[in-house]
Amino acid sequence: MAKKKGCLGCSLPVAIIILVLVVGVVVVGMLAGPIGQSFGITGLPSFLGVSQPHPQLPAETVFHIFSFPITNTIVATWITMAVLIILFAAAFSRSRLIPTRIQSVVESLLGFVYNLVTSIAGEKDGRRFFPLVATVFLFVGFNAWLSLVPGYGSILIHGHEGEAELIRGANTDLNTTLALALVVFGVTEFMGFKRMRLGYLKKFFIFGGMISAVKKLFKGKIGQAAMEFVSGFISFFTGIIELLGEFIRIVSLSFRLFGNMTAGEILLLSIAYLLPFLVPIVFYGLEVLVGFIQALVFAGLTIVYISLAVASHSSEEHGH
Amino acid sequence: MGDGNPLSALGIDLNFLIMQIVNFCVLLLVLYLVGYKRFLKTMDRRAQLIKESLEAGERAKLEAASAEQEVALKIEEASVSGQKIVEQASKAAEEVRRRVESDARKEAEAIIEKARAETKREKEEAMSELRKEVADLAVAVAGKAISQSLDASTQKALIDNVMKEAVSLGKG
Repeated sequence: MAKKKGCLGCSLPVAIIILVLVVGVVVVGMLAGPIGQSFGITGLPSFLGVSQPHPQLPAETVFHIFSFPITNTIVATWITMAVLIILFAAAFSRSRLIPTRIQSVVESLLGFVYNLVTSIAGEKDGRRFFPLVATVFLFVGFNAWLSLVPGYGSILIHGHEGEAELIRGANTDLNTTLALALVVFGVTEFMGFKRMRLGYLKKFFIFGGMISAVKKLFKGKIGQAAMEFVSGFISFFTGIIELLGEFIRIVSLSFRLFGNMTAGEILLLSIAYLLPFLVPIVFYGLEVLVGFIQALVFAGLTIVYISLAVASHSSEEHGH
Repeated sequence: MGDGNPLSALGIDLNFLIMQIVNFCVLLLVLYLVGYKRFLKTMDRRAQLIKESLEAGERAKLEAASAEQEVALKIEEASVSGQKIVEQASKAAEEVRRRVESDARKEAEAIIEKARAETKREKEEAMSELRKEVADLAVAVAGKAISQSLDASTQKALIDNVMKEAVSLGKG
């Protein structure tokens, strides 16, 4: 076996030339931007620089449909929906036992989510909630990944509120993440009530200890009653915290995703502004990973919350 | 966009929120109809097929083992019955040989007996014919003796003649 000379499969001179070019491009980009300006370097062509980003929290209205305003994140949502539906249609329109290429790609993605769901919620419940969790995973993931495609954030139009991006990553709008969190919250509570009826509320309003304390008080066992009252009050208090926790989930789910995605977008814009050439590629790779992790976290928490609501039912039954 | 709303600073708007909820629900429904249903069905079919194939393989293995056993049994049976057939055949052959031999012996004896009887009969016939010839000759000699007187030498020659004729007749 002949030993390869040089670096990265190139001969040493070629590798050195590539390295010099890379460093040159990065340095020129850097000098043409704000860093160069701060060092007083001017006169470089303006196309080498990237305009200063103006991140904006609320989504911007880009056009109206029947006088209903459509924001750039809704446009991105529709694009994500279209991509997913087309992908699924292509994969499963002629679903075969021996899968086609695209079918096997989509199946492996869905198989990953299916295994995650069934490992947390069990085979029966996992199968029931799989469509919801998979949609959450795909929606969050594809929103994040598609927002890295050129065109997102770079096509500007002049709308009612001045210059605005035509398409902006849907996850960077709180309305999207809040909508997802509300759906997850709704399904979780619905499943809790469906399985336990009104008994589901017993998880939050725990009066058992205090009632028992009052009974003991009437029987004259004041010492025991006082002890039970304290423990009953603690139980009652934890129930209230549990109830608050249910609602706080909406905030935590929506803000976690929104924060991570918005931070990612601002990071990319800032890096592109400071070092416009080659360096952002590394951060794009990072954002692909962040998108996957956020999708996994959102989907994982969805199935965990639902299975907790369902599991409390079975533990209640065992308790009786 | 509800500027009076304190949440509007974060961009939260009830209309957009409802729209995104509807968007997500539509996506869920469409993906369920287009993909998840078929995905789960395909997975079930695949699992069923694998299960059936494994079962069929196991069954085939058992069947092959049982068939092998059966074949071995049949081979043994065939070997035993073959031996029996060979024994029977050799017995029958022995029987046939013995019978043929005995028949042949009997036939040969019969033929010899018959030949012997024939020879005896022919001998007796020849003897009787000879006797008859000799008698005829004696009558002729007697007739001649009667018709002429014979001297002693003639008589002797005559008798010799008769005897010679008799002998030649006996040989013929």
